[in-house]
Amino acid sequence: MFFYLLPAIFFGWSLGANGTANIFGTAVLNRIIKYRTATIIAAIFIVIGAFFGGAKGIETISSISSVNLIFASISVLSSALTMTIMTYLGIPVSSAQAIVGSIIITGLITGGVNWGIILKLVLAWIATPFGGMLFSFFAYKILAIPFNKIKSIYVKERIILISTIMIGAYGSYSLGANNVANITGVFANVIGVKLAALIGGLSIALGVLTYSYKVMLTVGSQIIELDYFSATIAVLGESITVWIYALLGIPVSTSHAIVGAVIGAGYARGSRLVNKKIILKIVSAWINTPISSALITYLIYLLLKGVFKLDF
Amino acid sequence: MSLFFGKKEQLVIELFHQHLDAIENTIEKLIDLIQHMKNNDIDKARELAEEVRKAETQADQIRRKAEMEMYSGAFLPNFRGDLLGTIESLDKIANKAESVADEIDLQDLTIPSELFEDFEKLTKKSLETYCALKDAAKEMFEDFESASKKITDTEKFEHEADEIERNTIRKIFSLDIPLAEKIQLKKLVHRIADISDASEDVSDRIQIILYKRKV
Repeated sequence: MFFYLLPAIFFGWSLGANGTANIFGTAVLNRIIKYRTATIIAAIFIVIGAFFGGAKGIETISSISSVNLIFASISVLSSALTMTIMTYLGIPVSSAQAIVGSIIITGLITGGVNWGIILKLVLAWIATPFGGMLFSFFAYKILAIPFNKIKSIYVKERIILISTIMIGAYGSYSLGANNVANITGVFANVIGVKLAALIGGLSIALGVLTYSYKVMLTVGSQIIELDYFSATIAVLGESITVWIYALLGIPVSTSHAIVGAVIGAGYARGSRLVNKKIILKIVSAWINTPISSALITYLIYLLLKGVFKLDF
Repeated sequence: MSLFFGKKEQLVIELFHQHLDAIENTIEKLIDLIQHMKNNDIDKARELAEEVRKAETQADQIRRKAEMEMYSGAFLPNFRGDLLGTIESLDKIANKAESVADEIDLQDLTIPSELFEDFEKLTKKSLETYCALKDAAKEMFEDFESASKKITDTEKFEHEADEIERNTIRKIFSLDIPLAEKIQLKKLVHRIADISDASEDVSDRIQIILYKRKV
């Protein structure tokens, strides 16, 4: 049993390493909050989010296709490999898209894919950056009013610091609740939703605690040009988006939400931050990720079937 | 408002205030020196120039202490940078005052009696400009609007100092004294006026710090 779950732990670990960067990256890089503090907060709230808010997403993923333990394990392993390889090659990638690509192919092999859910997921992916954009735009417009009324620099700084921590915790909760389904959703039919949520949450937390600094440096530096207020608002916009999708039970990409949110905060400030490169990056992730993970899943399936004569 | 400030921040603000006072003290010592030049007492002038230098050294020491404290983690990093820049540029004002004292001391300058009042007026106006800046710098922590008002005052006083500077130079060149002496005095006038110019530079910097924090 544990052996089958190993790829999930690996997948969770890599998601944790990547995902927190979208929440605490800028704050850590701007030295508003220490790396250690940020990762501890993130780890705690990811586990809480996964455990208490992850059920719905897990149900969605587990209902795309009913697969057995070995297929579940192959799907997660392929997704984790896709994430690792694409991250290594510097190609933008999202765990939600990777796992869905894998599940579709395993579903096709075993003969059952719920295309209705797939369509819902794909529409949600497309809506994610727009959600981030809208929420951060309005959050900026609304919260800038009281923020500008504060006359003291230090009070402003304190508020930024406190909101960074609070919004970061909320963002981590949303991340856990939303993305845990990608990690252990496929196992839910076998091990149960609660246990799937706990294992998934813990493995994401492990990634956060052990390997998120490097990714933070990369992600954080892409949004570092924002001032503290806009950066905090962008994370808020991202968190709201991801949280709503968690409530709806749709795993989405935090990276896409944050890109949209940064653009939204930029618009609210009066600067145009969107360019062709960003759009291309997101669109290519939508296409590349599911196809790559589907291909890898199929290759592993063929390998196990052909070389190791495994009976599925 | 001080309730909101952490210990480290309070210490930095305290040192920042001390630094502002030390710069004011340097300019006040310079006024003493200029006023004593009326008596043409070179020894006394030398002594008072030394006082200016001592005051400037003291300002330097406080600046270094404030900078050290700041980098122990007071304030968020980008304000830390802003504050550091402000302190550095404030310190230049004390340096300007010191260079006036040097000019007088090293060249044994004397001010012709017809010009004495102008020099005194210019130095006092420079102090007034600095004091407006000092208020702006203090208010920067507490109240943006009040700081902005003080910045406007600084600009106004600097403009007045410019007027005095021009009139004094015109007057110098209308006097019947050797050209070399005229040039020496003109340079002295410029150096004194530098104090209010440098004050205005710092006020510009503070204005930008305030702008940057508007969202």
